[in-house]
Amino acid sequence: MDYFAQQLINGLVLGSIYGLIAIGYTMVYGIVGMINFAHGDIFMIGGFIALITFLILVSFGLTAVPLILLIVLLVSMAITALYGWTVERIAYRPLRHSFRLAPMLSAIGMSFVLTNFSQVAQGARVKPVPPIITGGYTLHEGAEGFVVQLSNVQIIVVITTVVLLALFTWLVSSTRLGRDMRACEQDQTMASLLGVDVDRTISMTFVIGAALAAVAGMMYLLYYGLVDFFMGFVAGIKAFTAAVLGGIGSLPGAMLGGLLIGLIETLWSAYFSVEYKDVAAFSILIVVLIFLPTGLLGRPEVEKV
Amino acid sequence: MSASPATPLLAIRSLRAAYGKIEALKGVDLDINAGEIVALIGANGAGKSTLMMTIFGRPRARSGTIEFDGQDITGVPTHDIARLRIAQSPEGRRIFPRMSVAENLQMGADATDSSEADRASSLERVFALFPRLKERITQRGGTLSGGEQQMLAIGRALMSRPRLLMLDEPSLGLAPLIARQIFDAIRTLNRQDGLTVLIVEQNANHALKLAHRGYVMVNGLITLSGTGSELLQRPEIRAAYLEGGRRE
Repeated sequence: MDYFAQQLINGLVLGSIYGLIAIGYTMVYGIVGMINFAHGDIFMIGGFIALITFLILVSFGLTAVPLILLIVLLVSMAITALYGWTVERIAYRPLRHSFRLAPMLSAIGMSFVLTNFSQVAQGARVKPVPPIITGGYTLHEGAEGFVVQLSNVQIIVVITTVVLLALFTWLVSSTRLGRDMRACEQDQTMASLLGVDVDRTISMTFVIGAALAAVAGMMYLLYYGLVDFFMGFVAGIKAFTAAVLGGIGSLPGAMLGGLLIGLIETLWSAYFSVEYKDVAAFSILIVVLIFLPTGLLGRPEVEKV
Repeated sequence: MSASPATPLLAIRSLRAAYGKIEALKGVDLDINAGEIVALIGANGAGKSTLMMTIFGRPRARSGTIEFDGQDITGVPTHDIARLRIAQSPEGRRIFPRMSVAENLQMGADATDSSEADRASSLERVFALFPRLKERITQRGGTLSGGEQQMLAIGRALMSRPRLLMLDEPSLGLAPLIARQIFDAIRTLNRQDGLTVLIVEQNANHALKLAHRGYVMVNGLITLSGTGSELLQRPEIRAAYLEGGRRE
């Protein structure tokens, strides 16, 4: 039971990270109808920028951890958002009225570009960082000596995710930008007849998606203590799976899918075999696609962007 | 730039537009003066809806000019045209199905960055014209009946306090009583607020009675124009559009 509780905590933390990435997939799909295959690499870029910012701050002798984390978060969100914006501007927008597969192919190309760029610029080796946030709480000490722990990093990952999701939900449901995004998702022509600058709204969608992926990248760095140029690939596919599982186009679905994939992966590793954890996650995807092709929350009434 | 009484609010000259290789507008000239109701009638596929959409740059004109209030808007981006306070209730209504009635109306108000006071008074005006919308305020657009959607499409267009209101088939699919309500509402807006209206209708009888002037469109060309009552008297109009489409 203690073991299970511990795995549940681990799974929820991993799921939060997947969920943050999955929102970017589902948002872009909702508004432009394409799968942004470069989104996983945007997450990787976010992780690297977080690492670089962290090292720069430390080399300046900054030691206040909360301040460092805040600056790293903001810088990483801002610069990664710029990457997201640029990718859309140069690789997708020119192809918007081309055949349907064109932006998708371009996205796969952008994914390679970002991966290889990072490999060349940052090197191919895994970049470790010493633990930035240490300590935690012991929730329960079992009779056989098994301890259920909740580390401070885990708390920070979950709280950051919850706060960002609340902010993001508010943005989509109650601000003008969110309304414009939903209008573009439902009927781009009508949105433009009502004065909505569709190109700008699509750009903002990429910017917001990239900023959330940057947060996920930073959380990954804090949680696992490392980044590498290839981490966007598997994490990206997992998050994409999460988005499809939750119902592509649905925002609550993306988050739910993320949590489920995180839990499935963690629990499978805990009880069956670590080697096959990805097989488990993707098998679930296949089962869902066969029996529930619109995903868990992918009904047309669901709020989408 | 403000238009002198002699220049029309909207002036269209030799306008051509096409969808791919199919030419939908083949050189259209049309004027709308401020304060006027102008009806555009014609058979299905004549190019009436295309004309309305081309005014908004969707599709873009192949050649010719569109001037609004003396400003050439032929190449202006669609969303900037909306900001000039030209509003459209388009073909098929195009309600946002997963937004509430309130949000659909808000989208109309957003089109021209209305102040809070303007927004409130526009909303009051819309609810006065279509009390039904007030009862449905929290309901999703996609769940409204056809007539309610039509009211919402017109209401949304009015929320931007338009200088030119374009209505594409406002009576399509509506019960005669509701169609009458909508025509009455248009007349009221025109008389009380001096609203300029371009109305596309297949129901030529209603439209020409409502309009000050009318144009008849056939195969992408304007073939006839005149005051509403003049057009109503023309035998070819009566034959083609008023008496069940029977040819003489």
